[in-house]
Amino acid sequence: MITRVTIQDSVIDKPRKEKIQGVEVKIMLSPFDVPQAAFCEIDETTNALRLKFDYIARSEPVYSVATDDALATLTLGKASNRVYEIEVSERAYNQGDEIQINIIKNAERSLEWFAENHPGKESGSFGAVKSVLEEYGKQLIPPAEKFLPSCQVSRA
Amino acid sequence: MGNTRIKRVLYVSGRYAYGVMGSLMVLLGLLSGADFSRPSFSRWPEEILGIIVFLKDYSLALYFFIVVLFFYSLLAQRAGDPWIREKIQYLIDGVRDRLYEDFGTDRLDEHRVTLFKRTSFAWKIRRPGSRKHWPYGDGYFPWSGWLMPVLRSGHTAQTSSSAFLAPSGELSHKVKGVVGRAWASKNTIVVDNLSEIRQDSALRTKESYASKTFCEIDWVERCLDQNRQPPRSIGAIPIEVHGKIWGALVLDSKAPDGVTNEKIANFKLTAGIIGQLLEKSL
Repeated sequence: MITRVTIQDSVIDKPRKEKIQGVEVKIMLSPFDVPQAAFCEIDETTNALRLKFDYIARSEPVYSVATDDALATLTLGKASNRVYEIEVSERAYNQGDEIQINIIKNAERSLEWFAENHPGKESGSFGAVKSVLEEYGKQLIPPAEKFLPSCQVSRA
Repeated sequence: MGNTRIKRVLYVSGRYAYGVMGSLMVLLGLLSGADFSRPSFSRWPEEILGIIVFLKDYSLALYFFIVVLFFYSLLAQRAGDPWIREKIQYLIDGVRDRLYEDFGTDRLDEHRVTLFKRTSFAWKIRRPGSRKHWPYGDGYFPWSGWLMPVLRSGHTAQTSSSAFLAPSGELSHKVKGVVGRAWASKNTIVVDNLSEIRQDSALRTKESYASKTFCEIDWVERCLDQNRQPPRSIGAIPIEVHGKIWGALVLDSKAPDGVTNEKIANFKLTAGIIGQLLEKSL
């Protein structure tokens, strides 16, 4: 099962004013760091949920990093450290009723974990992906009944 | 920024040179292993045998020629495919025409779009406060890292000597220009509503302009000396190739609102396409 949302630049990348060396400038993200689309895919064997992000260009090798508690795995660009995929395990999100919110929180937590544990490696796409999760999360991630058999039974 | 026709000839000849190199290598390899004392060779025409003997006699010189050819191909193809360069030029001209359509009657060089490439080595640099390339110093060395213009919109402003310091690593805070800031921070940066600078403007106004555009005052003076008015709005979009920052696309205008956030947002996709085209070129 795959769901897809198209992302509007203006929603994710709002211009902000910043001071650099005392000079006020208007800043926006690099166009290469703003996802153009996001996908949600469910692994039917493990029930792990994969959030994938598509950018203007993807032509670099990737690597994966699992968080310390192994609840989420990030797939990042080797050269840019851009976030291409976040995999959230069923163990992380299948607690309580608010499964959609759990998934979003766990995905965001994995980004924060990476930034804390790999200082200086956080790319501009981290902020953009967080905004995507905030703005489009509920649209992107289908209701739990649609992909978790246990939810279908309990809600019935 | 170079002659496109010469670059096209160099690129195509460099590509053919690989074919010539390969053929010569195979031929010389076959000749070196062949035993010409065998009777079957005696039936070959005299002319062919003459050529074979010639090639064997001069094989050392031919190997040297192959090495020269190899370096020629390498250099000729270094600048990338001119076809891609032409497409990028077309895109840059298109961006310029749409971005500055409100200023239709102005000269082309008053509202420009320029593609800058970051190079780790550049000869044509000037020390601040000097018109000369030499002596170097104060972090201004050919190997300091520079953002050099490689393509510019329009046909009237193709020659440019503007280079901006762009050191990497610990010295990255020394970057110059809005283009340097965009390159170093990997963000899109816009500086607009800058003051109008003329030859007779007060020194303080010129210094304030230089500080707002992260430049040396020397750069402002040089613009004025060349009868060019320093731009009143500047935007820079970083360009990436294979996930690594390659350079930046710079939009500048003599109008204070010529380049704005809203306008630049429409050209982010073009910057992405330029990055993808450059991937095929390198």
